[in-house]
Amino acid sequence: MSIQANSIDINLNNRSILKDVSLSVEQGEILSVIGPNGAGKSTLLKSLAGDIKPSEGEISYDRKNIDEINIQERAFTRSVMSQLQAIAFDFSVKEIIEMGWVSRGESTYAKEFEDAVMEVVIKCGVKSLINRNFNTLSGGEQRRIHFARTLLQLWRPSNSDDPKYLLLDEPTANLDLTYEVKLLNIVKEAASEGAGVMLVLHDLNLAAKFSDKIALLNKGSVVKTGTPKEVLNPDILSEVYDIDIKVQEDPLFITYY
Amino acid sequence: MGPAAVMEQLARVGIDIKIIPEENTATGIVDKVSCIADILDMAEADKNLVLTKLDNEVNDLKNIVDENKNDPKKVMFILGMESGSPTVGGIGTSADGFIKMTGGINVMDSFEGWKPVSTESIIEASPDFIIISNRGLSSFKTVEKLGQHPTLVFTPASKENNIIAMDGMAMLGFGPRTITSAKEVALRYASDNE
Amino acid sequence: MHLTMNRILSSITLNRLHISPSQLFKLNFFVFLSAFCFLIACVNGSIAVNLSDFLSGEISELTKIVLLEIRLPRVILAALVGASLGISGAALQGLFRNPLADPGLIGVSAGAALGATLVIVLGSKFLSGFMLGSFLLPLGAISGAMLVIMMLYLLTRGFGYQGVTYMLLVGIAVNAIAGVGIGILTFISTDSELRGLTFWTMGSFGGVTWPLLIPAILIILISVTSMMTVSRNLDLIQLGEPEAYRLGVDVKRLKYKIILSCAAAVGASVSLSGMIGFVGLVVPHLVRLFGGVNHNYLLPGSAFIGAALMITADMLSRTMIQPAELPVGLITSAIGSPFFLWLIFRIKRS
Repeated sequence: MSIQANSIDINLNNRSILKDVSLSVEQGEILSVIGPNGAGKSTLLKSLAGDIKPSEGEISYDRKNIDEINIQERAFTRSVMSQLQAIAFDFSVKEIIEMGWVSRGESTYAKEFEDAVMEVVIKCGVKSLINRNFNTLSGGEQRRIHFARTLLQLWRPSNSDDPKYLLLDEPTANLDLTYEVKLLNIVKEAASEGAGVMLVLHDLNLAAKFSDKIALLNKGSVVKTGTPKEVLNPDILSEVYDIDIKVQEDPLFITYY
Repeated sequence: MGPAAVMEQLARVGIDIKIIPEENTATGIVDKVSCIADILDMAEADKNLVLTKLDNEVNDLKNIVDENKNDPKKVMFILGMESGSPTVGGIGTSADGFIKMTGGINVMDSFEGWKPVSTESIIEASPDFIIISNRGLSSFKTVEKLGQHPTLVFTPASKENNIIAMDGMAMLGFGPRTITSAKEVALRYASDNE
Repeated sequence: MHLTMNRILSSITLNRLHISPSQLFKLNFFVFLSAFCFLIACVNGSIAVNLSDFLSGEISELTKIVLLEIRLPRVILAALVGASLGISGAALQGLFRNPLADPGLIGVSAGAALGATLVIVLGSKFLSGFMLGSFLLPLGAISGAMLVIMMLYLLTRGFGYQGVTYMLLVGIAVNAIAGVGIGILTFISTDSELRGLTFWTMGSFGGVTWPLLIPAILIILISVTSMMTVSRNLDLIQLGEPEAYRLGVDVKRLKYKIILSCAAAVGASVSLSGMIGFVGLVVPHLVRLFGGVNHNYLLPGSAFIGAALMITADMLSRTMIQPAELPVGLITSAIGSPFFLWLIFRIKRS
């Protein structure tokens, strides 16, 4: 089961952003999407999320065209984290996290809800923050809260094998090093529990360490997809990023200065 | 008297200004007319003619008022219906003076000046007669229509069809026409008594 | 009481979650408060009514008429208008993600007043013997209100929290234009239904009767309930429209629903009582300060507190300088404008 982009073209304001892009986010796998600025990584994530409709090609969730899936169903299947807006009113941290709970009508039991929220809060290490006013948190802390929210959205009872996908755009931006690693470890854990993950990342070394597969994008097209070792090739990278890049094989490590 | 700024301008232009005392009563009117006659340098004979005629009117009015003395009417004077509630004349207004001249009692006697009043207060005051200027009535066309307005419909004045509309300037201007208007109203009170 | 309230609320807002027990308790308190204000307002006025006489039914015929035909419709209208303005303020603040949204400030009430006066004047000109068919007047007001909200939305779309300036600027413009329109119409028209400028700009609950009230009751109750069903979605849209969409919110439908409901509630209110300002601004903030910001609590809270406030303001307007009446908009502005200033400073600081 997977979320797929099948030969999609995306044009915005008469400019071609993505051309003939095909990509698959598999359950249980972490796919990192890397590439220079303007390559179209965020646009790709948005189209997989269902925000943008491709002008050619199709997006499919578990082999079903996304257009045939209503937005509530989509919310059950995948959660997204990208640009975050300022919140106009003083919600508590707990209330923000709880916004990730997509209710399935009357089958939402209050008991499960409370437990699920606590589970996510503890997993993300934000228990000390839950009663704080969200607007008084630092940028990094706010990001961690939004991440907790996206996790809550994917919460399932333990006996469920409904598909779930996590689409994260630069989730570690502005985070302290500890939290950077902690977040990615949580992501890894989610994948091992069956989630399909797509990570848009800037940092090539993070991509190297945490991905099962990598897709390298440049100027709206996929340059190469494969395992980290296959994609993080010094010649390919140097050409795409237009800078001399050296790759150390074992452990896989990239340097460019 | 007009606004101070206007008065000053008129004086500066060299216009001869005489200020006439104003009192919202019958005597006040007579004094006013007399004063104007003097300013205009009227001949004594002509002046007496005017004043005598005026005095007769005042006496007529006095007689009618005296006849009604045993059954004084409760009256309310409405300026207009614009603000959702009727704007009514309280103590010290020209309307107050007019009502007194007609021999009636101003029911709105707990405040000064022109103010909008609540429907409940109107019902409580329970006016026998309502007086309104023609201008104030204009949007309602007839006194019957005015009487149906929710703020007035429960008053005795409305029920007995005792709403009077007349020329506003004639009533409140406090010139000779005011005396005539007051007489007309007092006669209406009298006919109501029969 | 707690349980019944919970059940009623959850059936309206379609979910049991997302409101804390303490908020539920506070809502109960709000209901009690507004019921209390309602009772007090019914027994107070120019004509004194003794509470025990009132309850035992031993009152004079005249007092009965005053109570049932004059005071009761008036207090009910005040409650409905207060609830409408309170909840519309809260919903608009949520939709625009903007703490300064208020139907008066941003020109919605002015649009409604202009719509109402146009209907009256055009109605009498082109349909002689025109019966101000009870639904036509509020309909005109609602259309006016809706046009303004849509225009506001189109002009501030995408600005979100940064759109404060534009929204207020549009509000200034609309208030000015509507003011001119209403002024001219009230000046040239001699229609008795029209009433004067002071009525429209400062508001009044005097002169309301049952036939006028019935359509307003229907429209307001429907729109207020409608707004409460989307409380949860209003929470989610605080994260931004794209984010809310990803969480399963039909953003377009939500916008239309809120716009329509607010226009209906404000329009119906303005058509019967003129423009009354600041209630939509002050009430939601008071309710937030008292118990929190989530909309399952905020919307019903704003409705009840709005009602309580307006009932009290109306009672003051007709008893403070008896037998004369203060325009009720004066009282709400007296409380609301200093609060508005305080709010601006508070926002500036944060």
